[in-house]
Amino acid sequence: MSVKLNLDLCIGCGCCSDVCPTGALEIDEKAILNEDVCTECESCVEMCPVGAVAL
Amino acid sequence: MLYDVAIVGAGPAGLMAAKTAAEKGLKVALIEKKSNVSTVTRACCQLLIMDENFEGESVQLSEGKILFPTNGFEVDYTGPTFNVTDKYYISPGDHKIHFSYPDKKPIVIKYDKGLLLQCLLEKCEKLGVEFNNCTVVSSVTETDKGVEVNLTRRGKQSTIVAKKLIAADGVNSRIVESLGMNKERIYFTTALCILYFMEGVRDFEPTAIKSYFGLCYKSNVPVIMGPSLGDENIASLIIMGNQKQRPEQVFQNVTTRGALSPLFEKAKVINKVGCSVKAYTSMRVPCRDNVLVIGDAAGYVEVEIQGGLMCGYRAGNAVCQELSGERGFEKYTQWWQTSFEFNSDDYLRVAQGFALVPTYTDSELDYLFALIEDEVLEGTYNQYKSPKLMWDAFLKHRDQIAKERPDLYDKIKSKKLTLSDVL
Repeated sequence: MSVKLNLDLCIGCGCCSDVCPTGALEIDEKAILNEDVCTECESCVEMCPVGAVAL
Repeated sequence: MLYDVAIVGAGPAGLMAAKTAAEKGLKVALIEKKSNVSTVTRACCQLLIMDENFEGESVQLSEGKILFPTNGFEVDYTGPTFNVTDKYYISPGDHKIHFSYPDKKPIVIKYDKGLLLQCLLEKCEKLGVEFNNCTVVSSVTETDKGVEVNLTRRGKQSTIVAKKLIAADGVNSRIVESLGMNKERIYFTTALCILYFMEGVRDFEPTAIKSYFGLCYKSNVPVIMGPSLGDENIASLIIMGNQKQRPEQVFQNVTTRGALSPLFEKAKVINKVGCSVKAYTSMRVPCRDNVLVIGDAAGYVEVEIQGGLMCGYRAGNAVCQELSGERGFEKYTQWWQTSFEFNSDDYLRVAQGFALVPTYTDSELDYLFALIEDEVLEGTYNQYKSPKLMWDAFLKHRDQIAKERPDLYDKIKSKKLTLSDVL
């Protein structure tokens, strides 16, 4: 189970990575999601200013 | 390998702390989630605020340096700059409150944060700072020797050990959260922000920053328009929202349905950057035995770039003092508490009491702004000083307000602002 990342919407601000408790999100130009590590806590969904991360 | 200090976050505060600590001979590890510091990927206004005694300092820009005379340091900056000389608060009916200095002294100077940070990073690396990019902190453990910092870099885990930790990882600090230091703070809201860069905006004045107040503009938070660096024809538009009303939706409303929509008829979005901020009250005592939290990570919303640089300079010195057996963190805390207005007990009550929207209706805003639209208020950018100046100016006309708009006057009095002596 993992959130889904829409790279077309992602603007690389890194706010998701800031709040991810498991380190599932890293940043290199845009967000990089490690689906194996994601626990679906939805912190990133809550924080993304452009709605690029969703369940 | 045991570092003297691990610093998380290579923004203005973290880089300055790293440079200062390294200059004093400390062994420094600097950790940063992004791959580089020269591209600013998150919304940031990138302004040098020229108020005297702002955050306890009066910065100067001179011959390729930004000077911090009160704190006693300087940073190199030889990149482009752009002076903003006028600030306006604008009401629904286009009545303008004007802030500026005599002789067009700049209120704020727009500059390139990426260049500033890149220059600091190069100095750090020359001083032997170990820079770990593309690295996030997954957890921090305090030990009797110092701290253990668990890192993730491109999927690989590692740990570094340091005597002290400086958390300079910004407003949504993972370190602060994981150490449980948010429990002592009050949480307000999560603000989502998008900064739009636009060309073709009608009547755009690059030397001014304009804040539009009123429900007619279709935003609960003032819409702010200002210059961008590099091209005088490109406006930057700050749109704030939250999870219930996302900034993209607010942007659509502001530019196509609100009172400002005529300005955007022929405008085009060239680029956008965003950020999200979990707003907490500031951390009054931003330290533990081996951890010092600096900059936005400990602040109420933001310390500004120059605030971050000062925090970093002070923190680098504080860690050095601690490692020599002096009470460096205590001295840092005293400076932190007295230099930033959000650390005073009164600021929140004053800020909330002074807020214009939605307390006052569009018609009331027009009336109040019109009372002082022929004056020029002091060119302050300070968000705690600006509303005080504005309200002092309104209330010079209090007899007139009481006579012409008694309901409005009652509403103002009920807010119990610190202007009670004026009232």
